[in-house]
Amino acid sequence: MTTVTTTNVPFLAEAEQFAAARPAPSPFAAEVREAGRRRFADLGVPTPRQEDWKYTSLLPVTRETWTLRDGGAGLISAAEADRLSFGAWAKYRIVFAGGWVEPSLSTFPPAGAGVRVMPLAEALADASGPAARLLQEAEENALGALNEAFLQDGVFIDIAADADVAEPIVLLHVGADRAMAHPRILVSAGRGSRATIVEHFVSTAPGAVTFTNAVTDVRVGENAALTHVRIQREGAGAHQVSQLRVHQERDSRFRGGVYTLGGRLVRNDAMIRLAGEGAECWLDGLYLTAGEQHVDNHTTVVHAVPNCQSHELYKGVLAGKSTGVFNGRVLVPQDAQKTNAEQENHNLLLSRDATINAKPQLEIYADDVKCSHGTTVGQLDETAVFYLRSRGVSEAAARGLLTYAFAVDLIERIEAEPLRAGLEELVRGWLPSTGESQT
Amino acid sequence: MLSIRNLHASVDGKEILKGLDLEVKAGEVHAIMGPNGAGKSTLSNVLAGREGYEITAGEVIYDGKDLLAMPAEERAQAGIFLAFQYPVEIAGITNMYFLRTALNSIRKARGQEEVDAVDFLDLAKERMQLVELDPALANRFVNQGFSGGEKKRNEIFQMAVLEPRLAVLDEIDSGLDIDALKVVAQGVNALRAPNRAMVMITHYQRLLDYIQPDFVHVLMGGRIVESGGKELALELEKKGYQGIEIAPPGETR
Repeated sequence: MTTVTTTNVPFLAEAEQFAAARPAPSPFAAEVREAGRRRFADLGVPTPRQEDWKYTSLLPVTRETWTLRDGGAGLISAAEADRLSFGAWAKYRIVFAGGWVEPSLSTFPPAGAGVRVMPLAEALADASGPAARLLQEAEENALGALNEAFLQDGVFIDIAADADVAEPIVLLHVGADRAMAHPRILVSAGRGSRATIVEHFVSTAPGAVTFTNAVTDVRVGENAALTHVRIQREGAGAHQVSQLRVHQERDSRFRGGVYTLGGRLVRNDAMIRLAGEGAECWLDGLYLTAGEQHVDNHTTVVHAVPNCQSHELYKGVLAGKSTGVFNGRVLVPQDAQKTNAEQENHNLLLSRDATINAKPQLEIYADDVKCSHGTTVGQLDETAVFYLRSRGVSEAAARGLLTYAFAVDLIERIEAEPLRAGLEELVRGWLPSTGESQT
Repeated sequence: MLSIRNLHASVDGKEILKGLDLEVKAGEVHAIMGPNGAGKSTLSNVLAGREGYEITAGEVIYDGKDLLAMPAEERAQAGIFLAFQYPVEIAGITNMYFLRTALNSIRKARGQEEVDAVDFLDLAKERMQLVELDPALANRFVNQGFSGGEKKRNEIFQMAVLEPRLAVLDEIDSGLDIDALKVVAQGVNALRAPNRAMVMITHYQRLLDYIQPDFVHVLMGGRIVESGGKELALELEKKGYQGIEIAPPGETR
C-alpha cells in the first residue's frame, strides 16, 4: 500500500486509514480507491479561490472531524424509514444508513422487473463490466475523487433495454450524526427504457451533524427516458455536496429535479452531456432557504453535438440570513448547430438579509442556435398581497400563499404522486416560518 | 352603516382628500363621480385599507367601529369588499383556490365553519352565473390571461361569493364595451339587497344607465362638492365637471 506523507490535505489520512481498515470488495474497487486518493491529493478540497467555488466555502466541513460508520444497522427503524419517505408507498426502496445499504430496510426490484439494483461491491467485481464503465476514466473533480477514495457502498441501477419501469426506484439516504458518507450511485438506462430514480436525503434527528458527498453517474441510452429527482431535507446540521453526471445518447430524454429544503451547507453540481443528436434534457431546481442556510446549485450542460435541446428552470425562495448561488453554464461548441438551450433562474427574497448570487454562463460558439436565459431577483408583489388581504386573508397567510404560488410549478413537475404530495406539504409547512422573518 | 367625516388623506406628502364627508345607509347605492385626479381611487383605497395613504384628519366609522384602525383583512372580515379598478393577476393560484381561501378566512374570523371544496364548488357555480363567467376561468390562475371584461366580471363574481355588507366598486366600468358593461351591471343589480350598501366610483355617467343609484355625489378636488339624486348625473352629462359650481368650503381649499 502506498502511503501519502506530509500533506495537509484534509481527509487524506482518513482515506488511508479507511483503505487499511476496510479492504476493498474487489481488486478493481481497490484500484478505484487508490486512484481516487491520489487524484484527491493532487486536487485538494475546493476553495473560494476557484471560480467555481467563489461563493461556497467547505471550511465548515473540513474543520469537523468525521467518523465513518461500519454499516447501516441500527441507525433507523423501519417505521422511521417509512415516515421519512412520506409513507411506505415506494415499491422499490433502498435505504442507505450512514452511507451503507441497509438490506433489512430495503426492497430490491425482483427479477423480471426490468431493472436490477446491485450492491456496488458486486457490480464492481468485474473491472470491464457495465458498472465499471460508468466510472470516469480520469476523475477530474476533487469531490468525485474524494468519493472514490472512500468507495465502499452504493448501488448500480441497471435498467434493461426497452423496459418500462413504472415504479420509481427510491434511494433513501439517512445521515448519521457526526458521520460522513460517500455513496456512489451508478445508473445505466438501456436503449428505449423508461424509469424514475429518486434520491431522498434525510436526517435521523433535526440537529444531526453530517457530511454527505454523493456522486451519481448516469448513462441514458439511445431513445431512453430517465428521470432523477433529488430531495434534500436534512436537518440544520447537515452538509451535503452532490454531483449528478449524465451522459445522454441519441434521442434520449433526461429530466433532473433537485428540491432543497434542508441542510446547513448544500452544494449541487449537475453536469449533463448531450452526446447524441436529438437528445433533450430538462433540469428543474427549487431551493427554499432560511436561517443561516447556504445552498449552491451549479449546472453545466454541454451540447456536444447538433440538434439537442436543454431546458433549465431553477427557482429559489430565500429567507432569514440565508444565501443562495445559481450558476448555470451552457456550452455550445462550434459544430453543435440547431441547438436549443433555455435557462431560467428566478429568486424571491423574503428578507433584507438574504442573498442570492445568480449567474448565467452561456458559452456559444455555434451560429445557428437558439439560446436564451433569464434571471430575476425580486420580492413578493405587494399589490398581490393587498389584493388577498382585501379579500379577508391575513397578511401572513397572503405572503405564504404567494410564496407557494411562486414555487408551485416546480412541485407540480414531480410525477410520483406520494412524493409530490409529501413535498407539497413540506413546502406549505415551511412557509409560516418565513412569515416571521418579514418586516 | 358608513360615515365618512372630514376625511383628509395624503400620498407621499401630497394631500389628495381634503375634507370628504359621506353618509351611507344599508340598502343604499351611492355613485361617486369625478374627473381624473379628483381623489376617487384614493377614497376606495383608503376605505379598503391599502397601505401608503396617510390620514391627516377626519374619521371613518363603519358599523360603529373606527374603520381606519382596522387592517385590510379585518375590514374584509367585517364585510367590506373592494372591486378593484385593476384586478391583480396572480400566477400559481387558481381562481377557485383564491376565492375559497378568502371565503374561509372570512368565515373563520367570524367563528363560522369553513366551507369544504365540494360545497364551495356548488356555491361558486351558482354565483358564476350571475355574471356569466366562463366556468373554464375558475381553474385558471387568478386573472391571468383574462380579458378586461372577464377581470371585471371576476370581481363581481368574488363579491357574489363573499357577500359583503358594503361594496366599494372602483371604476368597474372602465375599459368595458357596452355588452360587457351590461353583464357586469346585471350582476351588481342582482346583488342589491336591503342589508347591503354599495359605493360606486366612476368617471362616466354611462354606468348609471345600468345601475341606478339612490344618490349621486360629485367628487372634485378631494371633496364632495355636490350631492343629489340620479338626476344630478344627467346634469353632469350635459354640463361636464366644469359646469359644477364648487360650493365655497368652510376653510381654505
